[in-house]
Parts: sequence; C-alpha cells; structure tokens
Amino acid sequence: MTRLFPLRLNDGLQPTAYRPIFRAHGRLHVPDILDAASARALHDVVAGAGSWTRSIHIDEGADYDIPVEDLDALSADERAGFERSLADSSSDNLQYMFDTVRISSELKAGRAVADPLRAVHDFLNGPDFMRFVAEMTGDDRLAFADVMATRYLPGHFLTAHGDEHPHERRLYAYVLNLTPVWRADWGGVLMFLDEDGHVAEGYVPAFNALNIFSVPQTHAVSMVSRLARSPRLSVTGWIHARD
Amino acid sequence: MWEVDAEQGGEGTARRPRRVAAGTPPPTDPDHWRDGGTFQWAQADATLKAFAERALRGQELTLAGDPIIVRHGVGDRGLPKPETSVEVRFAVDLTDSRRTLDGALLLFVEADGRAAGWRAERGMMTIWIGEDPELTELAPGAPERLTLVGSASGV
Repeated sequence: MTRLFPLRLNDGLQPTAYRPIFRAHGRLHVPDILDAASARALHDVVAGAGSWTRSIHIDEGADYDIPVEDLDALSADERAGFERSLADSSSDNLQYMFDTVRISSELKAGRAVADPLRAVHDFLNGPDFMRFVAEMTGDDRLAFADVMATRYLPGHFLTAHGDEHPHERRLYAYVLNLTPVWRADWGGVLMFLDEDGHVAEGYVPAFNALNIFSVPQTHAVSMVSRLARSPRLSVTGWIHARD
Repeated sequence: MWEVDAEQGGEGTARRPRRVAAGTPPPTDPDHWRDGGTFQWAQADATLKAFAERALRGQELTLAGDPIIVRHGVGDRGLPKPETSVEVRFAVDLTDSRRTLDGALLLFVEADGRAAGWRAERGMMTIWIGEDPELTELAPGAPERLTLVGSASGV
C-alpha cells in the first residue's frame, strides 16, 4: 500500500472562480482536484481495498449488500443462476448494482475500517476539502461528508434518481474519479438527465476529477460495458447540512 | 444541449448536434442483415430512403449516398463508419427506448470528457458535423434499437 497521506488538494485551484458556474448549473466537473501524488495514493488505496460489497437494489425495500468474496466462492452454476435472476429483473425493477466499501457507515456503526480508508474519510471531512466546497458553492451550511468507495465492473450501473432522502439533509453529491484510464465507449458515464430522459450533460470518468452537484438532481451512471479493461473506481458520497 | 460546455469556460464545440422531428418513419423489415462487428446493418429500402430525403430537405440538406439501417440488440454498440469523408451525418431513430438506462444512447463526447446525448425516440433525427458520436451498449432486457444512418450535404 502506498503511503502518501495526508492527502492534499491541488493548490492551484481557485474554488471561488467556479462559483458562478456552479450556481448557474448546479453541477461542476473539476479536473485535477488533488495534487498528483495524493491522487495516485488515493487510487492505490481504493484499488487495493479488500472488503468490497456488491450493492444491489431490486424494488423498494429490496436492498442487498453481499460480500464480493461470498460471490466469488459460488460455483459456476450458482453464479450463473444468480446472474440470471438479476438479468430477469433488470428490465424494470433493478435499480443499481455496483461494489462498495461503505466507509462512513462502517465508522458510524463502530466497525473497524482500514487506516487508509479512514484517512480518506478524514480528508473529505477535514477543513481543506470542506472549505474548498464551501467557497466553490458559496454555501456555509456544510456539516460533514459521508464517504464510500465504489467500484463498477462490467454490467454495473445506477438508474436515474435524485439522491434526495427524507431523513438526511443532503446538499451536494460528489464523485471523485480514480480510474487512471477510461474510454467513453466503456460506459460508466455520470449522466444528468432532462425531463424527457435525455442526457443533458454527462461526465466520462477522468482520473482525479471531482464531479459535484446539488441535490436533488436526476442522474444515472450508464452501464459499464464488457469492453471495460479496468474497474471504474471512485470515492463518492454526499455533503450534508448542519441540523 | 451544449450550453454548459461553453459556460464552464471552455472553447465550446464546433460540432453542435441538432435534434429535430423527422415525422413518422415508414415500417421496415429488412430480410438480410449483415454483421457489422458490434451491430448488424441492412440497406434501407426505397421507401425509407425517400423518407430520409424528405426529412433532410426540411433541414436544407440533401442525402449523400445510400442510408443504412443499423440494428442493436443486447450488448451491441457503435455506429458504422462513413464510407467517404463527409461533412454532415444523420441518424433517425426508428424505434423507441423506454428509459435512459436501456442504453443505446447517441452520446456526443467532447475531448475533455463531457458528454451530451439522447435516448432513442422514434421519428427523431439527429444531425451532426464531424466525428460520429458513441452509440452506447444496449443493456440486458432492453428492446432492440433500429436506426437509419447516413450522410448528407448542404443544399
């Protein structure tokens, strides 16, 4: 594991310069958000995480978090049956499927989190990142960020949703992309949808880019293609308001 | 569709795609599909070709060469390359999609990784200049997509 913490923002960025654009559109793509060494270190931490869970949501209330190591232990027949059952429901009911390490949830539950992942959580809740977002958005209500690592493999996706949650005060959603090489035709595009379901704007994964947008805002992640030669890695979550 | 691109401080794009209603396409049922690698394709019949000519004329364009029908089933993606260097390309959706996640989106991707595009809507024509867009992979469970694809020139 590369040891380059603490993580640092790219000190060449001027967050207030982004504010008019963010306020006009409610979303922004910020390239090179971290300094180069920090980005590489963070990539190594996420790519090397050993505790992935496959998160699957089928219909309201039907959420499954299955340790990936359990899926890996299935026989070929069992795996085929599992994947067939998902494919059968994918037309209308399946809402998302991707791998996660729910860093903040684990910490909140008092469970052990590997030190590098804890450091990611601390960085995104630390003064530098919070100040950056506050200056960029002009919003002084920011309280904390929840954090999870995500990994999209071929066939993984996230259907259109707005991120609003009745019991949480989510202000902004963020995605810090960590895939070193990605191609548009591999899918995995963060797409913002208009009222007719067309793609008003999308962001192809780009290494060390921060995508941030106000909540609610209808968005989706297009299915990762079988062509993808590497997983789509990111650190993502929401920034919440004070109570 | 590209306003954010310009306002985010970039140079904007020289190939702003246009999306217009082309009318209701005539039914088509080719009897000979050819393998395009990541999709199938067939020659458009005379009725469909006439439809394309009418639709393009409404945009002050003329059809160049023979349009083809491209069929995307589950797992298929991409568009055929134009046979010659052409100025204007077009695609008419011959089928509908139900939602964005069905895939087979016509997605225009800028060099900086920002993108915009459309899901399939029967009768809508997309016109663009320059490099072809991505046509993203059709997802499992989604209905097949048929698209009339061709080239045009200015009147």
